[in-house]
Amino acid sequence: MRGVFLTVCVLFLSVVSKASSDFSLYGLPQALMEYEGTGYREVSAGWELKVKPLCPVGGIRWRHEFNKQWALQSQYWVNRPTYAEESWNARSPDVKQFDQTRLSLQSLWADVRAPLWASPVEVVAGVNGAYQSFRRKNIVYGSTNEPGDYLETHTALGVHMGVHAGSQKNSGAHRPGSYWDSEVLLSHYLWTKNNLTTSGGTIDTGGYAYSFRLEGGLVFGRVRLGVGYLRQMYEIFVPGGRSLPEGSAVSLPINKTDLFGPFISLGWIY
Amino acid sequence: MRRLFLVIFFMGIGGIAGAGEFSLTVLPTAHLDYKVAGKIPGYVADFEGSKAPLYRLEWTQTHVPNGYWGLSLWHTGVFGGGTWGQETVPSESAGAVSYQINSLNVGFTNLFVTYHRALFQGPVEAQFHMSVVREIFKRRDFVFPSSGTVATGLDDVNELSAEGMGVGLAGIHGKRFFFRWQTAVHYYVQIFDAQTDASAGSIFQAEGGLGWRASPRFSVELGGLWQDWFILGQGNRRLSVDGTDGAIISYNRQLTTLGGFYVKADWRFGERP
Repeated sequence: MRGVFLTVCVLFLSVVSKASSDFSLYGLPQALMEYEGTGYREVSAGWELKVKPLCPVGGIRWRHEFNKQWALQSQYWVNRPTYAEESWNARSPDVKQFDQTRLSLQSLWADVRAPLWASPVEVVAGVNGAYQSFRRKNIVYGSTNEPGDYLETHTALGVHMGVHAGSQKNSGAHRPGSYWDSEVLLSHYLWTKNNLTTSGGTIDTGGYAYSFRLEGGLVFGRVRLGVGYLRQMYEIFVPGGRSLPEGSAVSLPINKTDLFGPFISLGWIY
Repeated sequence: MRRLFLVIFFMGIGGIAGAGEFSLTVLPTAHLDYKVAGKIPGYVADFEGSKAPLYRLEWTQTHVPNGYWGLSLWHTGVFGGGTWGQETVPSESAGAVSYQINSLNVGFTNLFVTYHRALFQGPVEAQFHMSVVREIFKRRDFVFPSSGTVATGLDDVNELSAEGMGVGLAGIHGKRFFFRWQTAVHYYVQIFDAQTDASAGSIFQAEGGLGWRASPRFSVELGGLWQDWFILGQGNRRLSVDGTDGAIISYNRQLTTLGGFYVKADWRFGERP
């Protein structure tokens, strides 16, 4: 139902628009994600939790140009979460934490774009949000097993600005052409929330993020086929630091997640 | 006296250059809040905050739609008349008296090199920044209640610096009476600090104010400014103090927010665009 709604919207806008717009799908077959949580609150030992899963990531980007001066773009990225080993850099080498963590990340960026004076380079301003969750199981702290599994969630909303540059569209051309497209977005988080909260500590909320995308490829009529590279970073501060009775950590206050890797893209110009 | 000197200095440079625009922005009673966290248990501190004037000196080339450059220098801290606040480091044991209490002043000196370019039309421009930022922490009056030790004469200054790039938007709406706004987000790395993560933090700035152009060459403006700055550091440094585990003087993660009302004076030199 959502797909039908989206298709109708695209077709409607393609009728009312006099400029060229595009809709693209992205796939990162083996994106590397790196999570690092630091700080402590209830956690009495240890200071760093890390998990680095290798997993597929997909994205949708929809850019609509109202005219030569204004464009809207929204993009959504999501990974396919898988369990991976999470380990704990401990203060004491005798007490470490190991567990299996399933890291899930979704982000949505929506913005307005306008070109600089006498330039094809565009300036971007918009809002964005991120949601990530950690499902932890098989937790071993020192020589003790923690029964059960635990879900930690982070939500963040922010504003971003950035720069976009790329080649002009050549839809409708009779011969295949080439294209390139790139953007850098820098975000500041104004609001963050987590479920496993604790009191105490100092840096409570906030954070920042960036997103970098570079792609290029061939254009066949209204279809684009490209390859590129995506790199994103999300740094989310929350009042985390929850520990389990045996002492292991199931949330941390300062959370950084990197996502990066090469992608293939398929686009439609309308 | 120092402030008067700076005003005269920049007006003098403007006169010599014969073109461009100079401005001085002062937040007389900016409130600075500083929060820290470390990677080691018990490694946080509570800071009561401080008041400190913030000064921003800015020079730009003559404003033209197809691009011009500018420099701005931001400073706050003891040098500019800032006050000291109390920093408290709690003990690792719950309920125990504090491990350490000391006076702290947090300041910074940040340099932004900015390229301005108008958007396709209207009064809004985009800004592209490169910056070098330095945060300065001054500590003195160390007392260790948990061990009853007073470190007489001990003080410390340490700094964090980072290099970054940023983007922003700004606009001026109106002529004789105008509304000006500006916002920017910066991303930082630490080129000269190999032991800290490449992602070294960010600065987010927002400001807005109402102004009066008293003459074609001079305007004055009142408004508010807010800055949020997160920066990483190697941290975990202590000074040796007999009878204690040492005076804690640095942390891994620091969040500094600053806000207040500003007064801005702006002088134009040379021909108007």
